[in-house]
Amino acid sequence: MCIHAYQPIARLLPLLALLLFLMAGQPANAQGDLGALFPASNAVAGWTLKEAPKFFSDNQLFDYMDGAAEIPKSYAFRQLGSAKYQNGVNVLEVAIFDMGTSADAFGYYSARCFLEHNPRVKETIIALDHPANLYVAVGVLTLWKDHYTILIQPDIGKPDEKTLTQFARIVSAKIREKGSPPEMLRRLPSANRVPNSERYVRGKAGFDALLAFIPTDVFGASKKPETVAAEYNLPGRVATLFLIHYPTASAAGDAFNAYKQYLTTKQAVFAASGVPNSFTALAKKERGTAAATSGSYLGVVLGANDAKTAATALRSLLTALSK
Amino acid sequence: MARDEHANTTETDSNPAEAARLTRRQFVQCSALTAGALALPFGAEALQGEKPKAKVVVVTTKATLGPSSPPSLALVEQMLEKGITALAGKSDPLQAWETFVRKTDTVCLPTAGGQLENVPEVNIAVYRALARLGVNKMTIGTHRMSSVWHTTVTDAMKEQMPELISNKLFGVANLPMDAIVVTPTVKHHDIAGISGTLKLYACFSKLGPWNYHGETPIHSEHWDGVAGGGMGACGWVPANDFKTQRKLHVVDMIRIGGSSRGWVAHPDGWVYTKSLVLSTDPVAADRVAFDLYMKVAQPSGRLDPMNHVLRAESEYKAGVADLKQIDVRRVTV
Repeated sequence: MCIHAYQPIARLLPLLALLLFLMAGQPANAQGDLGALFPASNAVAGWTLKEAPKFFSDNQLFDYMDGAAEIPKSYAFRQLGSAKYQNGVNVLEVAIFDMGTSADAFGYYSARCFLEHNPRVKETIIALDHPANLYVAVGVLTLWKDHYTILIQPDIGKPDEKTLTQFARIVSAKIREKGSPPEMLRRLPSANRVPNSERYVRGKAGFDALLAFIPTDVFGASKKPETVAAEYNLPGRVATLFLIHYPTASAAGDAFNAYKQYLTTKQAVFAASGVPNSFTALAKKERGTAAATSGSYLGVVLGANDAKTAATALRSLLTALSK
Repeated sequence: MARDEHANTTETDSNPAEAARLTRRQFVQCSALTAGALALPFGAEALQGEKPKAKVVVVTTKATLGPSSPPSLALVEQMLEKGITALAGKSDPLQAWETFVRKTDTVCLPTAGGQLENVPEVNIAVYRALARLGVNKMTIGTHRMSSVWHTTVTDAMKEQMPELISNKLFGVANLPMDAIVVTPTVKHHDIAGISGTLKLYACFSKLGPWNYHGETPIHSEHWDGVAGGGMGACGWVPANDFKTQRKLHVVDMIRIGGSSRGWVAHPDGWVYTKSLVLSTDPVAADRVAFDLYMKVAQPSGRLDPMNHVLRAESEYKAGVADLKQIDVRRVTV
């Protein structure tokens, strides 16, 4: 009787065991996958592992980054692994962010490059699997591959270019898939685009820092619509063109109206753009600006020299979008 | 004497009496203030029945400073003394310090944190001045300061070394305190645009910095990922968490961090602005300090750092952001 009483449970045992294995194994595997990407001690000659990889998930990222975690968290961030290597007095950190998708890995790479740009310091693009951003002056190399964004940066001292690229190549070689930049980037015009200025943005914190700072959420960025942007050499000055893909045409229209309303409150001077469903304006902060909807897309020009230049750029943005 | 187009700015030489020279109107205002000003939450200049007016002193050294020629403690102490006497309008340094901090005070001393830590001589100069004044107790709050900073400060302070808290995200917010002396650095920041005094208040706040990363404060035990708005909320902290304490801000602009890589203001972005900015008003301190920063560097990305400064005044009444309402006195050492 006792045996019979336990029979239903006994039948479930293999299933329970499988569930327990999956529950216990999943984080370990995720951590194991990320952990396997780190170079072994002395894989780069002379550089020994000083601190084994530490892993940070979800809100732990806030502790790791001293509060700057909003931007990576705006993307599909999964986990960060960080290890330190030492060569004499020099210590460097390899930080590998699992961003969930290759679009988001590119996105965080593009965010870092944009925010780290210092006009007074030379930055170099080097060819790895994808273009990577190297700051020789301080010894920082930022790259991405598949769904990983990777930072190799000094902790103490300054690693040289050869060391940085050796670390980068070892990590890259362990990542099987190359990954592709976001498909939506193809919808930006290519003429007059400033090389390596493309950004892929999700979330309000990223939108504020990477595109346009408006304290209130005029563009509905907190709902994380896919957004792509780049800088363009337009007559008179460099301007920003960006494209937001909303879930519906109605949402795109709402954002269009909200931006127009915002500019109205800023005493912008509006002019005819000659493009359907659009406006162009000259405002104090935004300078020459223009916006148009096309289905569920909103295209925006910011920072042009005047309203006429903004209108011309808007037309090129809409032409690229329609292709 | 020179004035810029925005501010009530007075340039003086290194003579504190000169630096503290007042107009007749200011003299009358300050005389009326002497007894009651310390009880006011912001700025020793506030007058009953009149719009509060803040005072900021910018002390700049003519000395050559750079990565290979850091400031000596003697120089920083001289700069601090000139600054505090100019801010107080008193030529005696001890009397000047006592304008802002009383001998009976328990004083908390949050440092600048790890992204761009203080030049240690700035902290040492402040701690030594407070030790000379003979305050009741000093507690330093730190977050990710380097071993070099720890060693330099400990070695210099010797037996006068204040209590020091580390590994607790500053750890001072809930301590009993009568006064707070804050020593922020000014640097490129991906959420605030520029990080200075107000941003530092958010870091050592009672509820944790994540509550002030957005446009308005939230009340979350942990960071919840909802942000954007350039830290428009951070002015809430000095106006609420530290509403009753006497405040003094010594903004360490010996060097500024004009760019950041990852989450560190690396030396390639350092610019030696060779200044200390002093004020009892955290908003006015940042307003003036950010102007100085933006003469030599840019904010992070597209962020407008003045947004959180202006909002600190308009929304939280944490101080004065309007340059027309700030007396800026410049002292050269």
